[in-house]
Amino acid sequence: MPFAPPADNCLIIAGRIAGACETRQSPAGVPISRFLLEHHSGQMEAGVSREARCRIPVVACGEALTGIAGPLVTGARLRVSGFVSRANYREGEYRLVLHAARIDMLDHESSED
Amino acid sequence: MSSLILRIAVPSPLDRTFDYLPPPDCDLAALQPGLRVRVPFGRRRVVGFLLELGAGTALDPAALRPAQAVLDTEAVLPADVLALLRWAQRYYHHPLGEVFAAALPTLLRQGESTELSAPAPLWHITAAGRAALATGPNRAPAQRLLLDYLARCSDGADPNALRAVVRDSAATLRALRAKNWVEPLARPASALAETAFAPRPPPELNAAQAAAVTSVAADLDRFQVFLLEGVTGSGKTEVYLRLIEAVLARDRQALVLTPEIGLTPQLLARFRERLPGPLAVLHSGLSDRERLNAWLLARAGAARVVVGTRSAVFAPLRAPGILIVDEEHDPSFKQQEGFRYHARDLAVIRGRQLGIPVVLGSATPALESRHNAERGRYRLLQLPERVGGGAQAPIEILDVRRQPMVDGLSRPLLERMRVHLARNEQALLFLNRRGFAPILLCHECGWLSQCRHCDARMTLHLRQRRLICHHCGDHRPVDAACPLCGSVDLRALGQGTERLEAALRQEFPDVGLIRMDRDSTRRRGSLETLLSAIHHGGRRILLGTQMLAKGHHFPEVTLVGIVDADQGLHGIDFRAGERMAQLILQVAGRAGRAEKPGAVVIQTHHPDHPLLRVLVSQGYPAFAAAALEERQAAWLPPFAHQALLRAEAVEPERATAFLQAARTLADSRADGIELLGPAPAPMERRAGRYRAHLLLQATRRQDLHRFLDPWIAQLRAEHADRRVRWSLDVDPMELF
Repeated sequence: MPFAPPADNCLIIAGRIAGACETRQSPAGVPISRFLLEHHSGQMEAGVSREARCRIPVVACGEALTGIAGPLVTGARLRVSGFVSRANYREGEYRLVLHAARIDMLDHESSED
Repeated sequence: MSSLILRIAVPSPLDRTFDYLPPPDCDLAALQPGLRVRVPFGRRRVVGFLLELGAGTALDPAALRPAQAVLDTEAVLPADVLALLRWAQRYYHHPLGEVFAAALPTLLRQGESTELSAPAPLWHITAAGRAALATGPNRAPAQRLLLDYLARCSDGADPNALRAVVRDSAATLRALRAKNWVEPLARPASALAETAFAPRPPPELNAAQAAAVTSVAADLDRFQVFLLEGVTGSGKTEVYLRLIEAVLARDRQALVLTPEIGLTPQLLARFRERLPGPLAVLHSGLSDRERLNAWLLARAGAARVVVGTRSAVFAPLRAPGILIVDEEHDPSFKQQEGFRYHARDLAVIRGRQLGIPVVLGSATPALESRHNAERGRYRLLQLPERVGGGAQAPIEILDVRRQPMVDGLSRPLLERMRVHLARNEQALLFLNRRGFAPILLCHECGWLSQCRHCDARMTLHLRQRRLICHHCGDHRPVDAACPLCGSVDLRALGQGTERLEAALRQEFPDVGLIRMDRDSTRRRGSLETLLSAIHHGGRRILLGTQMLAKGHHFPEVTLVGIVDADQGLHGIDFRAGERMAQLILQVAGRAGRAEKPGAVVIQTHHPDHPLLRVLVSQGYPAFAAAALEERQAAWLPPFAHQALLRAEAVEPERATAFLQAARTLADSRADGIELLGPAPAPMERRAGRYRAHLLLQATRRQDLHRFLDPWIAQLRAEHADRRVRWSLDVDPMELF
């Protein structure tokens, strides 16, 4: 695979699942889960606190990750860490997808909102 | 020392005979054309064919090698087959030795003797077997079929006869014998493969059938080609049977050619039930020994009816009386490699040489045959009605543009299926593409599952978890990740029968489903199991490729769905439309019978395609007329006569360079001939070779052949570049 020397690409983000998680199998038998992560938090910027809000699609591949993501329902809270990549190779389109490397379920107390 | 020279056809790509001296201790008086002779050829020893006895040779007589042995005492092929082979050799411009080899069973080509081996014992049903049969359903359908058959053979049955009843008769017999339900008994010395079988009383003929039988039966002593055009279910086979009976009554033999796919156990069982004496069956599924035995029985005249696939057109007959070609439009009658002959066309030639009638039967005759009928060269006999009066199922075009499709199935089609299945009937879906999906695609970067050796995509077979190229056979495991970008998000694109099966099982979870294609019938006996489940009746979905469309009769089917008619409408070959029409009608013919009217639904994105419209609203004869008009306007066969010079080579330019040289050689003397090309083949690379062709076309057949003779000879002599493989295809059926 045409990889350049390892470059930094790491995103850790927490949030809730918006919509349901869909899981399918690739023709080679690899399970693939997709869901949308909704993030909402307070952050500091230039010494001022502010709101941060976004939605990002997450892909989780392989038995270990789909085992966690597959049963998730709307509203479940979790932290995903992984790398981002473009969603497809259509020219001019640079939507991002977070490819999960690790998924942690969060309990309700750690909620910020 | 006599200077007698043997001119021998040797199986080799060289288009000439080879001169040999007679073997040292040979009775010269016994030598005659048609004997097999073992000769040294290069460093090998091969079985050649004595064509001529000559007095002189163009070579130095001292350099000639003696033949090693003469293998026969009488000509191995009768004179009429020799004449047919010589004609075919001239017409198809194919090397003589290979033409002769095509006519002989493998064992005879290897030098085996032409003595019939001792007859195999006859199989009988035992008392225990009868008891088992009487107690009702048995889980093994093949065993049950065989037992049932044996129960009706009071004098036992020949193993060859049983082969036609179930596919793997040897294994089935072993299983039955282990249970003590059958036993082999040595046959009475008097009868050679003759088994007593009470023939079933023939059904009554309808008016059209009777008229067809009368026309042919009145003309049994001269050559005439009859084109028997009968809609599916119109009883063509019954017409054949009556004609065969008429021929047998005159102590002559009948030869019936059928496509491989149409040579079903049902067809053979029907022949056996009606016709006396042993039946010789010739097809590629037999062992070499069985094939040789059937061939020898035909030659000796002991088998009075010979049924076989393509190469059976060369079967030797002691007293030929009629030649019948069933499903005459079927492309499998054309040999597509090596000696590229068309068995239907050769049957017509053989009939002419013998002065006997030839019957070509089909529901959808080839446009060539229809054209011959229109010009009065063939006599047209039509069977417009189904036997038993059942109406032809109406065909409905289902416009699927902008329709939401689930795995290739539209809602309206699924709804129709639901209605028929709710009535406890069977629905048949036809899709001429096996596997799960024709393409594996990377959703992220667009990579496609390209074959390494061909300009084609590898087909995804999900059950085997393999990608398989349907063109060269190469295969590999399904990629876990995209080889280009590494994404695991690979997706199946398009539909094959496997995918349809999965979708239908989800849609109709409580309905039995049978998929029939080359993959699901690979195991021996599996076809019989599937067929017997279908005939068991009850609601069921049948799904398959053309394997399901041809030859079988499914009385419980009332709905036929053609999943994708668009494939055929836009094929690159000019015959694509004709093939699609023939397939559609053949599949449609499976629907309905007298008491249960059927319906046919065609899914298409091109509901206004003119030929499709004509076919659906006015039937095949109108379609054929319209298609023939198009052919005439475009100057295509049968209004032009074609020959295709194909070339292929590992390096890209070499094949084209050879064809360019061939064209240069041709240009100066191509009178009345149009040369098109060289052009790359529609699929340029296949199995690692680059392919190109040069098309020759002429209005008059003579012009073409007068030109081909010296041209091909010169190409053979002057262009012996071993890196280019080339071949000539006269009357090509496919332009790739």
